[in-house]
Amino acid sequence: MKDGKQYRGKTVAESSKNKVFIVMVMIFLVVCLFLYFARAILMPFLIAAFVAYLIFPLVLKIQSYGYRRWVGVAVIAVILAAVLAAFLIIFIPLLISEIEKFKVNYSDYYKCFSDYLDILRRKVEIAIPVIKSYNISDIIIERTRDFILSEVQKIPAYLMSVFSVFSIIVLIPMLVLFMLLGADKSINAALNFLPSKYIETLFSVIYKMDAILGKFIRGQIIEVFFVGGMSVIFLSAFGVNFALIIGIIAGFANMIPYLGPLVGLVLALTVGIIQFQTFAVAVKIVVVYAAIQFLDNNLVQPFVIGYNLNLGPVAMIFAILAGGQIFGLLGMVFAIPVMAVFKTIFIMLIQKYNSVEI
Amino acid sequence: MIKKLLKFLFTDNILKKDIDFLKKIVLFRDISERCLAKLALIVFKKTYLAGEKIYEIYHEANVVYIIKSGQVKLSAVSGGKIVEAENFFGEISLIGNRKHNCSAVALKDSELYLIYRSKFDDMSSSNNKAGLIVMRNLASIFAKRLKYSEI
Repeated sequence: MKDGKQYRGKTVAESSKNKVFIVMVMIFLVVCLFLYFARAILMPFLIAAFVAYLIFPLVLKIQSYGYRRWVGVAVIAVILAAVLAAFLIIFIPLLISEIEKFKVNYSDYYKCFSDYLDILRRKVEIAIPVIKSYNISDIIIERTRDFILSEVQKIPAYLMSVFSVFSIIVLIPMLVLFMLLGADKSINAALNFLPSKYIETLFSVIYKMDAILGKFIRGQIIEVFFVGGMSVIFLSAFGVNFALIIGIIAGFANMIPYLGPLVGLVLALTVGIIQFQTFAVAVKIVVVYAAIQFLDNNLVQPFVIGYNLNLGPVAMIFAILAGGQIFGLLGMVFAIPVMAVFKTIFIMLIQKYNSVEI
Repeated sequence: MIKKLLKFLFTDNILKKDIDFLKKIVLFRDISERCLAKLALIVFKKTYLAGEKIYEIYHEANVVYIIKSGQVKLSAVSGGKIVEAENFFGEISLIGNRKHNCSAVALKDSELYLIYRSKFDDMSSSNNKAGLIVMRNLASIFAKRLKYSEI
């Protein structure tokens, strides 16, 4: 009995710290598990949260003039609705016609590409005769054809499913509206239930997350517009078909570090080479994409985002692949900020754990 | 009549009350109403029950607490004091990464307004004048305390 008391007296602070740590880890695991099972319906909620998070400071700004919350939300909603309507009227018909064109022309493209591969094979086999004897080129061509037949055909359908009409017009705006009107109250109410002992620590965690995510999201949006816009402009200037689709895909793909920039390049190269049947356009495209990446990495990122997540390249690649494995495309996009957030939280917890101050 | 209705529909009365309350706090003296509105929008309102610990001595200080209603007891090694409504404590957190130099316990059920340092820093970086005024108020409070403790 005496021993027990002594034990408790000695390590009371440490055991409570351990409890916090264990509870945090458990909550984290439960949330991950839940999100994993609910991942099919996550997309509209995430996009809505994304938009609401972006708009919320503007609503607060209007509110700070003394107006009620709904006035701010209404003003922003009207402006956004106008922008969205303009976007739908101008871009959607263009986009749909490009997608239709792609669907119709797909077999021609495939044939062209296939013929081109044959020509390429002959050239390569003449240059390097060893390849012919091992049938390597046959295998490579077979694989490429299979890939294109099975995967590339899915791209338009995937684009359509991600941006389904119902979710764009009804679900997402509704969710954004409700989030703007009341989500902060629910969050505050939830925070009020927490023991006051942890409130300051919790605030540190929440505001650090807020800072990281805020910078990340604003930065990503600017980057998407920069890379996508530049791609559309230059590809249109070169007269490459489907410049709009390729530009949009390149912009969004750019959200995924390392792998993303390649997606736009490969798409543009494929379409360009098939369309013009020369390498001249390929050189132009590579130069332009390299220039866009250079500008993005050296001007846009440091200037606009100005953040350093302090994650090593290996950790980043691991996070992207793991995110892609678990959550698909969304997982790849959000892998880096989520990892940065968890890194921050763990560093804070460890610092708290180490600073024994009783 | 219509004017009243419009006013009722459009103006945020809770925010207005919060602004009027913040005006009375010494720390925010001479700050423009708009900045007070911004502050009122970033405060986190939390109710502490009588006897509940708010923070302990030497814990990391990130938040300044303003008492909306109730009573809080601060106790340091050298002594203690009781803080009433319309006062504030934990102001050391506005200066930088510091630790609380006393512990705080709610004596009655108290409603406190919490302002987190980095939120306050955001506010003062977007409005330098307000940040400067708060710092000046803080300095004059510290100066007054020094005057009584030294010389």
